Amino acid sequence: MILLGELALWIALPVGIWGAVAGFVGGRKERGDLVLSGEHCVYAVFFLLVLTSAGIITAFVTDNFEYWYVANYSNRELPLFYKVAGLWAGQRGSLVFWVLLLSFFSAAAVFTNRTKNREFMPYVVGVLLTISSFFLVVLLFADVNPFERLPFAPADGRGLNPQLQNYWMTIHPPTLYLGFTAFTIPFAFAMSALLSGKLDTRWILITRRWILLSWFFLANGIIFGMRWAYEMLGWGGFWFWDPVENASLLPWLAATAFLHSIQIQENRGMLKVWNMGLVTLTFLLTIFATFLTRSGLIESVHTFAENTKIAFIFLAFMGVMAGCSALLIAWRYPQLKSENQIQSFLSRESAFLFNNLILLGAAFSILWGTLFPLITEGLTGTAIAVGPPFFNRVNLPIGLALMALMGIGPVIAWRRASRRNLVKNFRMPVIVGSMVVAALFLRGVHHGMALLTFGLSAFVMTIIIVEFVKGTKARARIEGEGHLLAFYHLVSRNRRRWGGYIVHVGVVMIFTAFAGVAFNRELIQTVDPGDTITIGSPFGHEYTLTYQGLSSPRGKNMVRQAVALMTVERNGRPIESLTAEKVLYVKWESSPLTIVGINSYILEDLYLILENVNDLGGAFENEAGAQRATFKVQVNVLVGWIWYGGFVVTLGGIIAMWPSRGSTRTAPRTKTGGKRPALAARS
Amino acid sequence: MGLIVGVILVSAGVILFVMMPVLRGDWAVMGRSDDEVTEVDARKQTALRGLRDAEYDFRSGKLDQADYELLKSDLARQALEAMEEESAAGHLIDEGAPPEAAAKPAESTTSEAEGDRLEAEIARVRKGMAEGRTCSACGHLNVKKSLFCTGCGGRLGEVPTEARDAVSG
Repeated sequence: MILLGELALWIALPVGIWGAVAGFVGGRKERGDLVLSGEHCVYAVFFLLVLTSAGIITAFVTDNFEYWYVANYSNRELPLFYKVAGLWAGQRGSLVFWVLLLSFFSAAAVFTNRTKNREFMPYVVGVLLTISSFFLVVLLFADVNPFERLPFAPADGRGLNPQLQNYWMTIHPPTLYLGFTAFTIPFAFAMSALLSGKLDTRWILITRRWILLSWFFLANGIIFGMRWAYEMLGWGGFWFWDPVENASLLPWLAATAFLHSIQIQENRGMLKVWNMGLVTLTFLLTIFATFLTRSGLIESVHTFAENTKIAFIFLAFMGVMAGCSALLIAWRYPQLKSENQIQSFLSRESAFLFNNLILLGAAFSILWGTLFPLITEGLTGTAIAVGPPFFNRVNLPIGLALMALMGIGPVIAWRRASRRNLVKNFRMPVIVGSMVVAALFLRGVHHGMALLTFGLSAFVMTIIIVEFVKGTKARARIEGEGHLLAFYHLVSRNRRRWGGYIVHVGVVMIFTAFAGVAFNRELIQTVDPGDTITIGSPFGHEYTLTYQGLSSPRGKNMVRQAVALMTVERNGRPIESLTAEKVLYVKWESSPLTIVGINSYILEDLYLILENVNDLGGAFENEAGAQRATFKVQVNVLVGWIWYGGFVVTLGGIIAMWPSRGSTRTAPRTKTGGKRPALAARS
Repeated sequence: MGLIVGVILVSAGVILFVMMPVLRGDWAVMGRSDDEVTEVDARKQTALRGLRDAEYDFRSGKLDQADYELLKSDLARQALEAMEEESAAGHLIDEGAPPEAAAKPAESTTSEAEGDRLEAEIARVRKGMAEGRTCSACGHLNVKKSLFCTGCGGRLGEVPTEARDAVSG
């Protein structure tokens, strides 16, 4: 199976290249046989990459340490769960996984369009297989072949990085990769529209769900990553502004801008060049995210980096793709002119345009901050990293402006809105927002930015609720329906709009959670068994943690665990106990991993970190005198709202993407397909 | 031995599968099928969705009546232009046919129900046009209840009482 997988990788490359050529030539020369051959190549590449992936997983599961990749990312004791996830544990396997997902989406796009949108498909196939072929070239010729053999097979492998030995490992990277790769489909359709000259809104209508799907996976992938960081990294936060975290945020920001700007093109026939530029930018940012994670060019907590050679290959590829896209847009520029102009500053298109500029401003600032060490190293010879303060300072006002626009956008009509209506529509939300600010201020909340965030959250939530109420009433009046049925039809007949509003609710919840950080409390204390730590909550109650001592069990693939137990009381009433751990994994004995303890409540988390054990060796041996430990205790305010908000975003995303009843209908094959025309005539 | 056979089988199978269309002369569908959304369809449906949204915006107090009337006229004109293009291309069915028969299958991203609603909207727009108001200045035929002429932009007259009632109700 392993050898078959290796061979499948080699076969996939010529098949991919042939398919790309067949797609482009078939489209250009209107050769249906070549186009069909290209489409078969898409399916074949997917099949071959399934074999390749199965080969890698087999190598992991059978502890075949003859392979460099397996020897470096696994060991005999590693649980099966993580051996299977070994496919994306390191640079080499994750590149295979990336192109596997891309080939899966490519096959899905070709299959779902086998009887429709045929005018676009030749070039779609060409673009998709060009990108797949690039990744296959990297895998086979850039010293990252996952099937590379060692001169001898070691008795055991080096093991998986302990930070990756967490259940999120099986969820977070695949979700993010699904988001990255799914966006290649809209990009391929956009390029096909440019190549074929079919530049009306059809390519957007065709790819709308793909865009939503990609956005959905990116959003969830980012939130999953935050949760993983919160549970695993042991520094009490959920976002570190790490280069790879930033890299995942960039395509999400661009995709969010794109999701809004395509609505302007759909509704007003404007921003056609902008949208072509945005779809290209978003695609390039997905490649950039992959490149940054895999190249090792910038230091990161994500440990894929091992080969800077591919950094230059990726850079060259991105340059070529950007150049080709720019040339195509320039070539088709006369056909991409706007059909309309913005009629009024007070219009939804104007609000969407601001939203785009702000999102891209955020993306640019994050990109700048992420690349700053590289830039300074190039200019001065010394890499200077900008830390979280830079990102927070720049992105806080940007986030607030975005929140304000989330409230303003839905209330403004397309084309023009009158001031009188604006005043009328904004009156209640502004009053509610102001009342929330005043109430919080009177309750002792004096943090300016947090107050502004809470006020804006209330403002946006009021607007969304009012939108739902007004929409339901308007529909009930227009259609003569009961309010419950009217509400159901309101959402189901325009899922993108109302699903989008639900997503906004989730985003507001997440922003509210970010503001909660301003009220976090933290305490570091060294204690012996029987000692207590007391920490107050900003909500007025008090937690008392009593240290019970350390135990030292041994889990699978672990050398030792030191598990500290704390009993917890809230205002003197016992609640759920907490444990916090230091763990030594097999093959990683020099770097103990911290596992935190979390008690989650609606408004706050009680978060316990075992910072230090005075005599870790003694603790691992269960020595009675080695129980003294230092703990960090935090009360993290509103942090749970990130995850609740994530659920709401997911719900809204599903509603927005949910297929309409007629969407699965496909047209029958028409007379234009079948045999080659000349042959058909002869027969 | 088994591995060699497996490799040969996979390679041969893949090559055959990929090259079969070229060898056998199998031809992929290259053009648009009759049931598919056209550029004109897309424009028509965008205009009709715009009409729906405009009505919602008006009823929920985001649009003034004058802006709504202007917007409605503009969108109705776009929808009708698209329909006329369709008609010229020989795709549109007879006037007297029921809406279900009149409706071409909706675009793939639109539900059947929404497609029916949009077609009903077309019927309304057509009816409105048939009973519409001719501009005294330029002679352009406007949608019924239009406040402004979509041809020259001139005011057509006072708001009909029934429209005011509909809004206030």
